[in-house]
Amino acid sequence: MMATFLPRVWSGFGAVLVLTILTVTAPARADLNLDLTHGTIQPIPIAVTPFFGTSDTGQRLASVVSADLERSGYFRPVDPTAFVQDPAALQGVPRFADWKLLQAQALVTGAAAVQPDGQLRVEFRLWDVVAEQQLTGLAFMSTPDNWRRVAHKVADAIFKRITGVNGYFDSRIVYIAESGPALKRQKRLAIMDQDGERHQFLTNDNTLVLTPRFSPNSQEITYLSYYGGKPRVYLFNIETGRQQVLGDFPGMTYAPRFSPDGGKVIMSLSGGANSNIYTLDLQTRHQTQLTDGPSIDTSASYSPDGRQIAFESDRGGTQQIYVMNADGSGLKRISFGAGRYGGPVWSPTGEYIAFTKLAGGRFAIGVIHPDGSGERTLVEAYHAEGPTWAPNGRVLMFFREGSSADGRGKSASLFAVNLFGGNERRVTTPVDASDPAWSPLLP
Amino acid sequence: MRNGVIASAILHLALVLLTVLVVPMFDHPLELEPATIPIDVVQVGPTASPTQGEPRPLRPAPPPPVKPVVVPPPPVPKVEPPPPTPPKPAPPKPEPPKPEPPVVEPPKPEPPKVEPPKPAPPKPEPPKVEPPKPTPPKPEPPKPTPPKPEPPKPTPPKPTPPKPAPPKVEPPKPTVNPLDAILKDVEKLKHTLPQPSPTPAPPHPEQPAPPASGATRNLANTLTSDEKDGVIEKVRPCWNVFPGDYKGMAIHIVLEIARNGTVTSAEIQASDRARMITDPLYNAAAGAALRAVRNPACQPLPLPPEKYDEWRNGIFTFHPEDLF
Repeated sequence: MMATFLPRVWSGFGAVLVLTILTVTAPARADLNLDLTHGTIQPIPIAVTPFFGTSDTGQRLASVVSADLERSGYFRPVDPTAFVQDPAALQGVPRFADWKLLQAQALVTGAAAVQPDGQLRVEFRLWDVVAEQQLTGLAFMSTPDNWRRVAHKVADAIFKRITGVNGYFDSRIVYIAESGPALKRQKRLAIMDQDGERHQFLTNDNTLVLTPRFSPNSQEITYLSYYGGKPRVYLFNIETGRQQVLGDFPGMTYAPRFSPDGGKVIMSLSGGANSNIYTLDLQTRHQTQLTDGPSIDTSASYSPDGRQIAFESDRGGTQQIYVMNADGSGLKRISFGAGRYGGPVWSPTGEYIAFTKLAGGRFAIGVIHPDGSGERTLVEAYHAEGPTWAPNGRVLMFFREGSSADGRGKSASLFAVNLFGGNERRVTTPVDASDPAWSPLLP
Repeated sequence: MRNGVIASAILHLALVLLTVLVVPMFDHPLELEPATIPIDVVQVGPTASPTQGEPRPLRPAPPPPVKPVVVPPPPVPKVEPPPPTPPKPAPPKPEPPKPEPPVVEPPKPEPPKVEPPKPAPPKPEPPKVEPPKPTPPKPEPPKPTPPKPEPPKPTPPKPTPPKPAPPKVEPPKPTVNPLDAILKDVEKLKHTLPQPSPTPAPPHPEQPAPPASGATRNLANTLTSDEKDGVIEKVRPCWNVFPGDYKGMAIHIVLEIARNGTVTSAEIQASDRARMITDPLYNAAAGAALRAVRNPACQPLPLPPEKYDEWRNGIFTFHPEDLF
């Protein structure tokens, strides 16, 4: 007992002694505490290398990924001609020192190969060049002809890992394709990927169509068509190409939009000089009137949780934006600026409502919080309207209209701008384009 | 006889002490280090990739689905040849004169720097890419900080004026008038006070520097606000922030800094690391902050080597919310 006790006492005494000496003699180390509140907002330099493989698919994948990231405005792809490692050498850990020389802060490597079962397997890795570590790595399987969507998904994953916000590249745009002279303008429904690729027309030239809107599963489109000379809301199934008129309303129906769960379509029904907002249950075909009064209520848009609805109304004397509960109660006006406000569209994140404003003879695209605070203008133009949100709520698309190149008519084009009014870019379409609608992220 | 008894007693005592102190040390079995440490080597391949993410549901409708699986990092080759550090072809930014040769980094073939350390060496700004028109940028507060009420900089080399040695009061001579003696003492004092000695008691060369701790810390060693601002300005260009909803977010990075101002270690504060897994926005913001402090383009930090004890460790807190 004593034999074990004594050494412990001695060792304890020694430890105390050492600690005492250290405490007395060693200077206390101070920390440099700094608060940083200023940074820069610049595109991050990223090197997207061709994906390793035997075919040219790897090169095409890298091109699409790089273009997606560059178009977002948040990335600056490094010139591929400066790359110092080939795709084969990049199947292991990259030589980071080489990429640092190119000022790249992020590096994308990958491989693409068709498997024995005919499936295309694409894998990629995102590297932090400064920290010399892998940030993420994913592999995708799909059919070889689907390589573009795979590339968009790769870009989405990179975007989310670097910015912390969901991407929006694997999504589609439906819009009104316009052609022909001003007096006999043809308006067709057209669809394309968000980068303008895989474009196709959905309707023929005979019927005027307007205001297309995607369903939450991106498989259906609701829109206004003047089929038979009567404007009505229709439903279009992208897969089957089948169209059907929605509801049996006595008057004109227009400005349709899906509810967030896809179970209803909310629209305006015109009766005399007034129009009110209705919903139509797509399963039961039950109609519900939400507004009633001697005013024009239109352009209704659900909040992402489906609990509220924003719409425009002239019930106060001028065209303004209002918000109400989904059952029509709790009406509240949220726009009070000079001019007229219209076309409200609730963002997918719920934090903003985009709108078109007309003041002083000029149009503007702006955003405002649902409680009416934080209004700001993103774009001003002679004629700009029809905002639609990217799936991540960080980018908006709209259309501008101006004189055509020959000066004899008007020309419309699609543009995208970020939530802060920056990185405005024209979206290329084969013909004039207006009234875009952005799909949710594809499944 | 008596000597023999004393010697025997000493030997017995030594034997008892030996038994008490040493024998128990062998009571405990020696702990052996584990012979091997298991290392998982993960192959990247179609069959070896762990499928952490569920494949996306198949949809009959076009376009065909894309099924993601998580790809682990590639195995690091055991014998990785050191990356051939190619000669830096005319670095775009001339390295500012380093106050001291690097401590941690391998020595660079640079001529010895003898210039005095500049707190904020003027560096050519990196080629700025036009930012994607972010939020209307907050008007930068005017940097030329108006005359800050800087703490008085005690001049370090000035030793504390040696306290006048107590004047050696000579024993009063009984023959001298006491008043005269006092006057004489005052005269002596006057003589000695203004010029205590031609060489003002230099500090003893072997005397250790005063500890920079607590109340005894020399004010001269504390970093001035200008010096701190210099560090912030140095890091700022490398802190590339993406617009986001950073309400109240703060990223704390724990740093170790070499004497030459290069960051040798930068990690997210341990208590915040779990959030990196659960919060993608925080994870991205943390990555941006880490890149800022790790980026060689924004190093070395302009810090005075003589105050190294004050900044060898640091905690930088990034507030992305304030940018938007």
